[in-house]
Amino acid sequence: MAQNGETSVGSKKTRGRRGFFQALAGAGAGAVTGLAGLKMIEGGAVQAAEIPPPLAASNGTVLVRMQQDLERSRAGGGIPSYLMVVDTRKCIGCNACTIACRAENPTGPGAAFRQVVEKELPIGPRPFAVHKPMNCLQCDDPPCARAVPAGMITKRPDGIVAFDERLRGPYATAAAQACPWDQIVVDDGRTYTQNSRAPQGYESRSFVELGRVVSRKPGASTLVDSARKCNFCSHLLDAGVLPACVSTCIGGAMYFGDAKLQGSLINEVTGGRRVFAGHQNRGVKPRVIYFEEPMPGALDVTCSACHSR
Amino acid sequence: MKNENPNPQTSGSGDDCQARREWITGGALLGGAFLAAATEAQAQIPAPTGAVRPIEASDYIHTTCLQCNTGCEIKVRLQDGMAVKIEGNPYGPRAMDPHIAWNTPVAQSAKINGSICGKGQAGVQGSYDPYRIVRVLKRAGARGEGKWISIPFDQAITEIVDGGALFPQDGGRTVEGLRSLYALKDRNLYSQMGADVTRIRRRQMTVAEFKDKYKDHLDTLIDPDHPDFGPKNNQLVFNWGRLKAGRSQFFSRFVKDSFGSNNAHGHTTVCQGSIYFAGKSMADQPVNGGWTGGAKFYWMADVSHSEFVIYWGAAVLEGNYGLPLKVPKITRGLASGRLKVAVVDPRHNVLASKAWRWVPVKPGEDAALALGMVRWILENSRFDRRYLENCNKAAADADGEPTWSNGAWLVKIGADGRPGKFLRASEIGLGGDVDTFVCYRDNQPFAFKSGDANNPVEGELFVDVEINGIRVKSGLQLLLEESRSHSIAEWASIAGISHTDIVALASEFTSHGKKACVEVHRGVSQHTNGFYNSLATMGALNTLIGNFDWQGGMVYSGGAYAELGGSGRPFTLGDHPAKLAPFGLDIIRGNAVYEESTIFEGYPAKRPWYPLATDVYQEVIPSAGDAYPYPIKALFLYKGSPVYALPAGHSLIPTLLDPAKIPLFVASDIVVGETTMYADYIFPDLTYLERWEFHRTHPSIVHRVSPVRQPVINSPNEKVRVYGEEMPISMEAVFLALAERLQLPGFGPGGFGNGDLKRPEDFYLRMVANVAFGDSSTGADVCPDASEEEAQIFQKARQHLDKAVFDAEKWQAAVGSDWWRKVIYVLNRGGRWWSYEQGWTGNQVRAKFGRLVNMYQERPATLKNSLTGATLSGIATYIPIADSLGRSLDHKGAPLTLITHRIPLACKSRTISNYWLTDAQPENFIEVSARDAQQLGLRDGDKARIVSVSNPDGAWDLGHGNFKHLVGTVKVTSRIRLGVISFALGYGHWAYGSSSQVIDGAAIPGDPTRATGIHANSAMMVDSHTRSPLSDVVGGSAVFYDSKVFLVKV
Repeated sequence: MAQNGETSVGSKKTRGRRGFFQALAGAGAGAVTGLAGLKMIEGGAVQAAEIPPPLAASNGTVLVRMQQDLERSRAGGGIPSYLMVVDTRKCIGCNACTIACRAENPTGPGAAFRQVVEKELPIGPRPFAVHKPMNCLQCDDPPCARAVPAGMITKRPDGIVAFDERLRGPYATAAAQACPWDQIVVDDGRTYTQNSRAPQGYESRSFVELGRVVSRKPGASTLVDSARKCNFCSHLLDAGVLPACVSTCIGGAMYFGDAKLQGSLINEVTGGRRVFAGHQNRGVKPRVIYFEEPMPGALDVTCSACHSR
Repeated sequence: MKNENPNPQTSGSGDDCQARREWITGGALLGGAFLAAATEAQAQIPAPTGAVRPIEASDYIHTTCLQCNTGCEIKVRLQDGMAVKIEGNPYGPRAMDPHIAWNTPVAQSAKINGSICGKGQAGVQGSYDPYRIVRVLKRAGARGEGKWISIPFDQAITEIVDGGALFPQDGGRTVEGLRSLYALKDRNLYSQMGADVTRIRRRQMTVAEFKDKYKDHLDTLIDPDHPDFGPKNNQLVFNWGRLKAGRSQFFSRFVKDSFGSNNAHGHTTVCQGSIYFAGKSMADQPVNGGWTGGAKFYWMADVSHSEFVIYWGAAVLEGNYGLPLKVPKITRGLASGRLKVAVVDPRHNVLASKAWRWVPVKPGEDAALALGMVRWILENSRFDRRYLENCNKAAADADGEPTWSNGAWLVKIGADGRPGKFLRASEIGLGGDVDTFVCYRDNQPFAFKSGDANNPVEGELFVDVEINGIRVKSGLQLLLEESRSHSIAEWASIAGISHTDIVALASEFTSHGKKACVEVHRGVSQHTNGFYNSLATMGALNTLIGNFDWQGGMVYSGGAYAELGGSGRPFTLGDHPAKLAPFGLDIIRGNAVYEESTIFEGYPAKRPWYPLATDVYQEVIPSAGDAYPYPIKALFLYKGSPVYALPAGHSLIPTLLDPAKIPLFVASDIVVGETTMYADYIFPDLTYLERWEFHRTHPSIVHRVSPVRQPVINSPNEKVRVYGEEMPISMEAVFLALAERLQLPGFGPGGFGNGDLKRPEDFYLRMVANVAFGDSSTGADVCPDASEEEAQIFQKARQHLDKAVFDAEKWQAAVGSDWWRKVIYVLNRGGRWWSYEQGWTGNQVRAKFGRLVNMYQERPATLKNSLTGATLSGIATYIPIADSLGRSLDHKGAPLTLITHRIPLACKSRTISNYWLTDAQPENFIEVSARDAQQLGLRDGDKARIVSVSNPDGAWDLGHGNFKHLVGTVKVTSRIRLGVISFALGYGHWAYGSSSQVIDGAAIPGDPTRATGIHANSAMMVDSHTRSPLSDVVGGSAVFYDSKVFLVKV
């Protein structure tokens, strides 16, 4: 339980109060009224015509279409440009994504590529809480890349920020410290069952990360001491499968796709939408963006309730 | 991966010593087999070359989750025989909305993943748990002392069957084995005696007459002076926590059909029993002058189409039935503007932030809020008059209404002014039979039958007249009078909310036609007044707008395919060569009327009787403790943890500790749990990823669904041989072995009469074949044969499974070659479901309730509370919170009402072993409102102890000087009602791998990350009369939310 009613579920590691949370800390518990971006939306349903079809569509329809988009993008032979979009109105803070990520991308205690931040806003008289899923933003101008020797962290043509196998030890630490959002972990090799009488095989299984066959057990292909983070499940993308957090999002809050693909769902949902611009203001050009849409018939709290613009 | 078990124990060659030595040499006593298996699997992982191989259909086995009771459809990705990743199964409506077409080839669906919650994702960690038990454990010390020896399976079976001086440490006490409890075996005697016990109940036969008639068989009875206790066989009690179809029938086949015990009891009342039994009562239909046929169920919203839903004591974004099933429909509805929701809950849950209105009702005062709404709706004519006037099917049909209510039916008013039974037409000379009722219109009575489809009858809604000297009122008149017992302002005051809340909720609820719902859950039912809270909320309010069976309204489940056979299906699972019909009172007095028993001795009864409820979880062990109505001899507990799960579960511990009260306690578990730690024997069970089951459906699933749970991975359990067949130890193996030893009919060769029942698959694959047969009794929708490609995918996906689990020849033999390919087709998809489109026809659901919905409940109105002797109400009513004797609760000045809540990352008793979950949420909190915290001098992060009148020390007393303290971390929040504190269920463990156990002389230390947080159930009130958990003595619910506590900073 951190200060200001903010809990980061998904990782036990202490998160810095830099960047993303600075404005938040400023808002604090005292700001009961006059909070920017807060208003009550009263009255009836939004007209159906105002809702773009993909946003009103059922999760299953969206998932199938995004998977088909992915196949289409791969079949096209061009280089995709991946984009992840989060609709926090539909996020319920359940952390299905967090756990899916841990299963798909084996990590140890206290380390995860994905967290869901829960923020309780003291905007009385009525309580309010918001949830925000977070992972590596795949910045087009990544601060982490500037913190290590050139070439260790690269931007792939598809937009994914890639770490190469030299990113270990002090380089790994430097990269982790450079991320304004604390989205890089240095793998310490610990497992959940290492101290038990029966360490479990699933924790040391081999898997593919950024094109390399790796594992978390000691050995030539070990990830121990390496910097790691979300890579949009690039091994799944290569197989035509959506990232684990996207497909498992039961609230339907996650969208993903190739922004260069004509007629893709990701383009439809982003077209003309109001998106949170806070991360852009830091000049890093993120590829994980957040909708800023009002929830019809409920309290409308925009991102600026916490974030500076 | 191949299962390398250090001690297969299958040969019976008598080399136990050798086997035992190997076991000990292996070093790991708990999960030791698993260690070996895991290590080997690791070694087998080939070093892949290249980037990544494509995802293939054979990488997955489609099955069904059981991390909670939602039972979502999942697909499990396997890597070298290991389950590494769980996905939502896109064929299933719980994991994909809309789900993909069932006939999609599995090769095409492989890359499409549905959605599954965090608990579901973490399910592999329940199987891959270092604390799993893999051999039979026998108590080595006193009950609950945490000392065990591992023993051969066959030895355990022998001891349980034959009894004897099994526990030298108990001082020579002799245990009666099952052989001596299997006293009455003759099926004819069973049915004759059962029929005569019914006669005794109806005062058509005396006990003396019975004794004389059966003088040669009195030694088979528990007590010849009380034949209504039934045979000694009833002294075997089977109690379960989570049990679904398939396993349910398999186990019941042993306990009831073959062994002849009447005592098989589930856990319904710890969940939301009072809603279930209110729903059952509302669904009963008039038959032969009585009321019957209502299923144990309740209605839920078809939220995929609703416009307005009041989620009342129902945290649908955190728990409930369940996240993947309900959440997408809600978030999509909210974000698109189609849906508006209100949250009625003292806790501001996750949905409340997305809701139009949050109404923090005072815990337990739900009926006051509901009756305030009822009053406003009735007085402002905002109800559906057209619907309510319909008295029978024909009238409903004429309006296109699938259901009708009895709100316009006339109820007789007694001399005391109390409503009783419905007026029958014959009582006023209008003819008809015992099921012909009367309504009133244009100053005259009309007779009708409820199910009459030809003669529509409509009645006036508000009637208070005398007919032939009989005072009668309509059901709606009675509801109006109840609602008028207080002004709306008074109702608001009782409920601790504002008058505006009542009017706003009532107005909005009646502004959306049939597309509005009141959906309730535990927050409404787990109170001493839960039954009537449920009738007032789910019952009265929804009935006033007649939303049943409408798209977006309250819906009945689409049900499951007829897995058990019948109507042309290939297998009849009920086939049994000598099925017994158990009789006699059960230990919880479920479905039983006190006044009809031979032990009626005035009021209050020693313990409550439950004529309207069954599966009263909190009654099983306390009733055994009181030997009421009779002592039990053996308790079998399956996948249940009543001590942990029940409110005031600590009150059960003294009984469990005492072998005189429960002489033999046999448990089935995967880890030594909070209740199974008190057992005499623990048999290791399979996890849900290692076994069969049929999860069926839930009220809000409008489609017909038969998801199948099937073996995905090997079990680490010791392999044993039963009826000559090799299998890992499981609950099925236990029952098969007991049946083999007792030579019970119904199992083994000829177990089905024509077929053998020697392996679990003999039962479950036949059920799969019935699913493959489909809906139509003519076989019109029998499923296609799996193609050769699909058959190969099936085989390849299972190549890692041990022969003792998957043997294609044996599997095929169980269903025959005609059905084998069809079975593969179903198993490849993890079950069978209606297509998405089949869920609705026009603006109604396809699977309709389609019957009478009772607004007035005649049966309750004819029954008495067994403790107070007061007649029960037939109409929704407000009853203040009270103990079993009807007295207000004395909390000795405690100021804070203790409630519980759920978080999406924890289920009650088992998810603590899932490290991904506890890493994300390492502990739970005592959530306190800012003002309460300030008054108590508590700050965020402080440690505090919860103390109550039922637990003045603020600790679980576990026996043998062991305590678990009720101390937790305080979280100060704006998101809870003043005067209420809450904690999330699932933490505060003292067993289940959190504490040390000694096995074969070696201490297995617990994992401290499994002991975090607080489980404050033991601060909840113990009823002063029953000395067991506080209960709703009508609907059966165990009471979670009516206790007041002190919170003390430590």
